[in-house]
Parts: sequence; structure tokens; C-alpha cells
Amino acid sequence: MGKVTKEHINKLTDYLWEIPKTFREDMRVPARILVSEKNLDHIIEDRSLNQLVNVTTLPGIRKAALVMPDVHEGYGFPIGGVAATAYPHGAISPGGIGYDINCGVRLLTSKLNKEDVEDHLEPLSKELYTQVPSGMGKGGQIRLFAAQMDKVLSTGAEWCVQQGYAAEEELKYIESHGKLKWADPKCVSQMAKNRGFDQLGTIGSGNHFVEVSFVDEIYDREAANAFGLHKNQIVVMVHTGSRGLGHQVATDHIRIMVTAMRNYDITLPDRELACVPFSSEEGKNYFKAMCAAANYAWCNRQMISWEIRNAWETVFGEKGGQLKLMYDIAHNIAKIEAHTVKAGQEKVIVHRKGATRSFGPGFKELPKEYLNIGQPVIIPGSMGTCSYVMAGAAKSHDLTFGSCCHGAGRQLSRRAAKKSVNAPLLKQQLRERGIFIEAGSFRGIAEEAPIAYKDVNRVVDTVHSSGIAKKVAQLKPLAVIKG
Amino acid sequence: MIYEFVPHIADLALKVEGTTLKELFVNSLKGMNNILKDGFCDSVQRFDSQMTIEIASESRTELLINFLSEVLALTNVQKSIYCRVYFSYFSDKRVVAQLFGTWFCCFDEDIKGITYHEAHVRKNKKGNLETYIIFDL
Repeated sequence: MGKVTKEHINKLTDYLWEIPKTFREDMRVPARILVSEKNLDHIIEDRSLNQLVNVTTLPGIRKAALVMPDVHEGYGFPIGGVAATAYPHGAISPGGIGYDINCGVRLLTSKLNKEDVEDHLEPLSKELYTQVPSGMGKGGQIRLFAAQMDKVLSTGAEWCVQQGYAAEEELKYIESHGKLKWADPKCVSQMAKNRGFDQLGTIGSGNHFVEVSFVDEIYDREAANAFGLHKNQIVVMVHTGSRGLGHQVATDHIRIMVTAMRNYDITLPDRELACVPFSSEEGKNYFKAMCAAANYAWCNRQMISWEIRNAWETVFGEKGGQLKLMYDIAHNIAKIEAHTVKAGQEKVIVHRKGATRSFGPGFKELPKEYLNIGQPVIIPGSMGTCSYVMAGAAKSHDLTFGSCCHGAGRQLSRRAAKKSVNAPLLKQQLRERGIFIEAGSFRGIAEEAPIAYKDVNRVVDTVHSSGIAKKVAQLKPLAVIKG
Repeated sequence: MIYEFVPHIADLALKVEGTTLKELFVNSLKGMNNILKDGFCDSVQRFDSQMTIEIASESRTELLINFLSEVLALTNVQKSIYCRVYFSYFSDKRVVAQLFGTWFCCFDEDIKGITYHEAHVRKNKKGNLETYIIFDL
């Protein structure tokens, strides 16, 4: 089957496009693209829409397979993909979650303003680089024992509260309160646990980072007030996931499913979509392991927050005040949620791979000050551009199974970025613009250069205009710490 | 050509070639090791760790991906890059391999996963075996 072109795509609304089920015989539902017409031309250039069509073949898929405006080609699922399958007998596919289970973002807010930190940015970025272990293959400040690991996998961010690394109050500002109750450490292999023993509190490498930013613009004053944001305020963003433990959980269970799906007569156009019925033994085991890895990731981001707070205190002392958690959100995960599919609400297994939950006002899990606003959505851009805080909106439930974008989306491969970027020069140019970069290598800076990413403003404007989330604030970077 | 990098927007893809299946495995391992730490194995003069692994799979493509995934996991846990491999048993569906590794401090690239996406071991026009391997970084 050939590449998807614009002739295969029908316009549903200004921001929603559809590849009909008739495009390919094995499609079970249509494929939908949330994007502006201008960006659609760009998306068509890679193979992400063919990958989206492949997703529509998953057994039990409901309504439509979707991609967000930051979509780009991945393997199996496109990055920026959302697929909901019928609960409990529809498919669960580890490829629809990704290797970095519960990769996600959190935002900490401070009482300091831009002018308070301007003279401290260099020591702050160096202190953060020292306190928050980053880089490839590097371990963290603590090493878990086997029993502690099982607790982390079972209880997620709660473990940090029990150990004195976080306040209990903070848990309600984390998606699912930092813990998925279905987690079962017994479904996580010893190899995965071995990879996780020394990685708690580490950001890793690639596109993961800690970023000190300031609030440059407020778009929605009521929402910003509720989220505790104001103009010029200093905030700290963390982007990382479940590290080697999550990678191994995905590897183990994709391998199991590649073989097991033959027992369920499942044939798919791409082995990386390997899946089994959620209700099968293999499906339940994966879900329990995925939940455990997700809990590890929430614990990891919580530990990193503790390290950031230590660095903050070292640099600013008492006058720096407390860093408060605004919200923590996953963008590589599967959740059991209720959504309107045809006539009424249905329980579905929502796979989000490079997509963020964006539930609107009234969602009972939210802390009371966010209840009338909607769930915070944190959208990182790149190290030289900007990021956004948005609020989920009710329309996301109708259009996207309560999901929206997760970032800017790559437009250049890592190798292409390395070839076209002079990293020392970029670091200097960013420094001249007032942005400090602390990185383990120039290679890492080049791979994550702003040129490697799409325009986050366009992505966010599409999401805002489509009504699935609304813009609350724009953040501009001041210091970026990465592996 | 032992292997070459091919463009992939999000990740890193290798096209690997070997005159035999065993050579394809060895070359794929070389490619993976050079992603982890470029040139590391060229200068290795001693081995710090030895591991034995056994992998069985339904097809030779799955066997290759599963073999590399197992070596990658050990690389992360043992903090050793396995520059040398000796196969004490090798067939299309099962391998037993002795791995010889050398400790390292940190990677150039952190490989999250080795995907089955577009992996397909087949004969090319030259009569050699080849496949694509996409690494999630």
C-alpha cells in the first residue's frame, strides 16, 4: 500500500482531518489528524500517517486512531498517537505506550521573579547539574534494595512521602496522584529491576532535561491564578520517565507479545504494534508491569524534585522560598478511562504515545483549586524557544479521548541535527540570549538544538484553536540541564 | 559494508549486512556498540566481564532483535560494553553466546529499545543477508 497523500484525507473541520476506513481493507476505524491545513502538508512528508493507518488495525479499536499536531514518525505507533480499545477484551499494545513508560513532565513554581535570579543563573545551573544526575548510563544518589524497589513499583510517588523526600500534600498535584493501583512488582522482570536499582532521581539523556524558565506571558488570568502562575515568575520544569526499568519492561513484554499474539490469531502490519487482548494473561501481566514502571517514573520525578529543591536551597538559601509542584503529567502511558464512543460512555483502554491527557473542568481527580479550570497540561518546546502551560478542555473528550499534544515534535533526525549544528557555537549563542546550558556533551546539545524541532507555537495554537486545551501561560528558558 | 546509518526522524536506524547469519549478528552487535560508545571496541585490550546468554525465537529476525536486546540489557546492568562474542551454539531459532565485555563510564547515546519495526533478515542482491534495525533513543 502506498504512502498517504493529501488526496486520501478528508477535511472534517478546520482542525480535524480524516483518512476514511476505505483507504485500506484492514482498517477497523478511520484515522484522524488534529492539525491545521498548513501543518498537514508538513506532516504528510514523513511516514507518520501510514503508521497511524496501521494503528487502526488494532483489534477492538474504538471510534478512530488519532494523532496530535506534534506528530512525527516513530516505529509501530507514530509519536503523538492516541488509540482507545474496548475494555476489557480489546488489544493492549506496549508499542502504543513506548519504551519510556510514563515519560512525562512536571512543573515546579517558585516565589522568585526573573530579576531575583538573573545574577544567580550560572551557579544555579551548575548546582542543578551537580545535584541532579544526568547523562548516559549514570546512576543516582541512592541505590534501592530489592524490598524498597517493590515498594517503589507498588506505591510510586507515595514512597517518596513515606521516606521523607516529599510532602503528602504534593501527591494530589500528580496525574493519578502518582500511583497506579494495578501495579504488580511480580510482573516486572529481575533484569528490569536490576536496571532500576541505581537510577531513581536521574534524568538520563536524549530529550530529557531540567529547565529553569520564567513566565513570559499569561493568556488566561483566571487559570494562571488557579495554577499559581504570574508574569516573570521563575518555574522549574522536569522532563524524564522510567529510565532503564521502563525500557526493559517494554522490551520484555513486546517480546512476549510478538510470540503470544499468534495464539490469538492477531496479525498486524507491523510487529512493533504487537498486542494481545487486555483480558488475556499476557495482557494483564503487561498492564500490571506498565503500571509498576509508571509508578517508578513518578517516584523518579519526585526524587528529582527533591534534588532540585536541594540545589535551590544551596543557591538561594531561605530567600528562595519553597518550590511548589504545579502538576505532573504523563505522556507515554495507557489508562482505563470512560469516554463517549457512540451513544453513551464506554470504558476504554486509552494508549497515549507522545500525547498528554487533557481532561476538562469537573474532573474529580484534580485538586479543588483546578476543578473549575481543567487539568494542567505542560508542553515543553526546545531549549532555545519556549514552552507552554495549558488547561485541558471538555472538547477533548469528544474529539481525542481526552488527549492533546506533548511537545513541539521532532522535524530533524538526531544525526541530521548533529551534522547541521555547531554545538559550541549554539551554546554561546544561547548564552548571549541569556540561556545557560549545562550538558554532558556537545553531541547532546546538537541533537536537541531548536532547529531539530517543529515550531511549538504552531502546535499549541492548533491545540488551542481546536478547543481540546486552552493556552494559560508561555514560559521562556533561562537555564537548561541535560545529559 | 558491515553496517551503515540510515536517516530516521526520531530514532536511529542501521542497515546491517553479513555473508552469514552469524556474521550478521556480529556486525549488528558492532553497530549497536558503536551507537552506545563510538570506537570504544577498537581500543579495547582487556575484558572485565563475561556473560553467557541463551536466546530462542520463532524466526531469525526475532532472534537477532532479541539477542541484541538481551546484550543491551546486560550492558546497562553490568556497565560493560560487550565487544566480543563467541557463539557456542548457533541456529536460525536459538543461540547460546559467550559475551566478553569491558567496563565503561558513560554512553554516547542511551538506547531505550531495539525495535522489530522494519527489521527483516533477507538476502540482498549480492547474496548477503541484510536487515534494518531501528533503535529507540
